[in-house]
Amino acid sequence: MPDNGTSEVVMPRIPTVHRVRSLLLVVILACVACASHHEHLPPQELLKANIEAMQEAVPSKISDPARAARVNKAIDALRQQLLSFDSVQATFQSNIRALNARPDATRSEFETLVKQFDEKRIAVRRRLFELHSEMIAATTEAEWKDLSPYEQRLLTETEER
Amino acid sequence: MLIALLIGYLFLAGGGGGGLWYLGGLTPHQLQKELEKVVSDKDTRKPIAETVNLMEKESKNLDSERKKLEKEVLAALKRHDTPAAQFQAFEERADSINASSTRNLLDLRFKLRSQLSEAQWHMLFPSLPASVPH
Repeated sequence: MPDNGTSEVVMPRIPTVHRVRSLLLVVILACVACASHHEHLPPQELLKANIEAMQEAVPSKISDPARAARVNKAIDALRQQLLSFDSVQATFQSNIRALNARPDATRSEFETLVKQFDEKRIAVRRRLFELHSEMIAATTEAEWKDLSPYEQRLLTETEER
Repeated sequence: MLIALLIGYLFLAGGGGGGLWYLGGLTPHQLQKELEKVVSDKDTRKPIAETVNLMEKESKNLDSERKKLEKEVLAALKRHDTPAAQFQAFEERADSINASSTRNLLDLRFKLRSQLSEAQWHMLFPSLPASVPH
């Protein structure tokens, strides 16, 4: 950096490999922070965030507005199903733990609770497949290839159970 | 803390990550540790520990089945041409595993109950504020 020829400030040269390493470190730390923030979302918030991400992706992946609307309607219904399931399973866990804590609890009391929960779980699962089929029917193979990762993320998030 | 994938839990209930639904959030391994505090005599504890070992085995089997199903269902959902019959087959398989696992786990729960006194049971599974009618 010239300074009217009177003095020259010599900037230390950072080797390229060090700069790349530093940049990578910053990127990795940012990713870890982001992932960790996501992991700590409460289950219902996590579901909502994943549903929103899927819905936001729809217009860019499906150019036909009518089919895009059909897919978004299915995603909306999916949101309702999964959110209601989340609450059903929380109630089930709390009830079954309370029942187990009672030394005099009978087998039929357990069977009734499990049966009631299974009926709800199976209904949600069946509806999930119907809504999946609706999305498949409203998309081409190429469009589904782009949208499918959103559905996969939605269904594979780990949750506290 | 029990961890499960949503899709796996929709197929097979019963807990995830090695935990079981009725053990108050404990894995069988953790239950084994708690048992040592509640039943101090090693000889008395031995048959009880065997029951918990069977619970652990059943829990591992269920987790392994769940992981297999998750993998297959996710692969089928990813494809655009999976026939509806394929999903029905997954459901039937899951329901059959679930029914047999529930039966086995309840058998073991009641076997464990018969091996412990009421006071010991309370120590292992403290009462919770419940919405279950007594």
